[in-house]
Amino acid sequence: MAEVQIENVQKKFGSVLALDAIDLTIHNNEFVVLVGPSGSGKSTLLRIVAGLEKQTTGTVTINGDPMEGVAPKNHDVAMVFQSHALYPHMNVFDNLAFNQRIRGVPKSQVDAKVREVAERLDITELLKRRPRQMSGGQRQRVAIGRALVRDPQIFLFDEPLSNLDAELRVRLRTEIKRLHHELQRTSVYVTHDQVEAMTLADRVVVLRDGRIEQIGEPDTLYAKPANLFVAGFIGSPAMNLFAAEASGEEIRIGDETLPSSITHNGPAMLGIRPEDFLLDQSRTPGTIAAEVTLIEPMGADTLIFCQISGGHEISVRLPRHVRVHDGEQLNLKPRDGALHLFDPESGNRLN
Amino acid sequence: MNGSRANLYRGLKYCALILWSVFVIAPFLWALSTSFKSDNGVTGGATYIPFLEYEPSLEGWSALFRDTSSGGISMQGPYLSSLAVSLISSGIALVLGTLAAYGLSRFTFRAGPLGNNDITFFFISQRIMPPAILAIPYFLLLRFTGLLDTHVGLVLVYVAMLLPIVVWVMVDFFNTVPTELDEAALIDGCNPVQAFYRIILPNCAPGLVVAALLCIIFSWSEFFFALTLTFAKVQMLPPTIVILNSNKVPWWSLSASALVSVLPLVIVAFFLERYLTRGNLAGVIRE
Repeated sequence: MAEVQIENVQKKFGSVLALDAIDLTIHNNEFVVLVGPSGSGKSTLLRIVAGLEKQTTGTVTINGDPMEGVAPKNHDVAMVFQSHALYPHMNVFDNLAFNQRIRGVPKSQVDAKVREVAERLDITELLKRRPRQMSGGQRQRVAIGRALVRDPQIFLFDEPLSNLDAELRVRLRTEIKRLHHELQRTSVYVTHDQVEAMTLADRVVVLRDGRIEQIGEPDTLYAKPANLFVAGFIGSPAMNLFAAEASGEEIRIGDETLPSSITHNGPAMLGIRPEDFLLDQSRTPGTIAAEVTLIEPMGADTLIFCQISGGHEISVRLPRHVRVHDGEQLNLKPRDGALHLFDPESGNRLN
Repeated sequence: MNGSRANLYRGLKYCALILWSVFVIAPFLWALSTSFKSDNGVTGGATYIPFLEYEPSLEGWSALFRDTSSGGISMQGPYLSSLAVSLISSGIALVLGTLAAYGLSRFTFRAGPLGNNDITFFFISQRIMPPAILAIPYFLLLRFTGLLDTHVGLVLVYVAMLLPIVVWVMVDFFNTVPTELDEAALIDGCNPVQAFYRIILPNCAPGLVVAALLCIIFSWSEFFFALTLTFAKVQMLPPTIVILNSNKVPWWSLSASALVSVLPLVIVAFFLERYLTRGNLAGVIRE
């Protein structure tokens, strides 16, 4: 049971503005992911919630209690670090038990708790090992275990999977999600990986240069990015973005004209996701002529890079049963309602 | 083919090691045999084999404990003084220096345009001056405070001498321990002091051992200040041994006292050596 309220938080390191005017409420039992490129301030924000960093101005409250001057140990949080930060001079059992022991929990209780968590995470056979005797994945699992033993109001994750190889990352990601389903605790998770953000989050907070670009459910972020940055950041492969000219209910890119339901006049940035193209048999109005330049089969579907008029390159994602070959001329038709239009100056969404 | 070649290399390696060991150990063996010789055994040219070439005598060893009035050196007094002064000053320097080093490694200090690195350098710069320059100021300072020719006075001087070494060694060690460990400890429930001595310090044990060894070696064998700042009431071991060199040199007692004075360092090194391996941190730093 914990609600975190961040109000108008600003953080400066010397003269460098790391966070500016951050307003964010993290609801009880919610899984919130802070995502952004490096230097966006996402880790700093997490560290402020943990009490490891002090905001320059603004307030952070947990369950209505202001955290001003409260020591990290009294924030009632547990944190999983990117570098796992297990204590090297202790074995796994002692690592897991440390936070209970230092808080004076009776020994029998501590032992039971550690065993229970070790079983849940399937690390019982590691209990006697030192951190240096384990693989990266095992260490990170123990680090998650340490947080579970702590049984805090809030779980904080600071890029916990970034140091692991791809396969392990996916496995642990699923595991973290499952744990959150079972435990139902407020969680804040920092990552630079938008796939992690999309898969884990109840709500995603996109940060850039210390400011919040958009807050929303993963689907909203994907379907209706609030600005050019979010449009380009969320989704892999990235959304195709072109400079276009809108006039009434028509949009022109190079020599092509597309019908649109968006009423806007003047220059605009047009965005279309790679999977939002259909293949048309013939060149009809509303299709784009494209020449295939590169094909990347990805198994479930195929990624095709094409050249269109005006020298633009676009990426198109087609189901794998659609066969195309290098140099083929395609007629691409964007799906209905799949066009995203942004103001070229401010970058804000127009539709 | 390969096997015999490896054997050859191993043979050469051990030959070199044996040669080196002989080189290191020979002076001690020489001193050991000399300590059992009497006047005849020393002055009549080199002798090696006891009972055959020279008559072993315990004179050298018993002189260590006899009073000066009966021709001895009475080494117990200086020995205990040196032991006490070097252990106490090393202990104080380790505690203060480790705390200072942790502070310099983890917190940001500013004194006008000066920052952490400058403060660290300031500590180390204390060792730039040769002790000879410091002897007179120290002498005056200790006389002014009434600490001249006392254990306390010498301890203070030694602490000042040892602090830079400890700070230097420990800042380096603390810097290799990731700050995430401090932070994990703080979140787990430690206050900053607990995080320091329960988490960070145990992981810097090799550094502590290095610093402790250096402190004990420096303060145990320090000669110059021991000679100038103590003389009558308090006598330290190194000057006592050197003074044996004055007129007619009792080589046997000199050898015995030299061996005895090396003993504490050997014992310390023997017990601390196993902490000197640095493998512990391997699991912390990201890979």
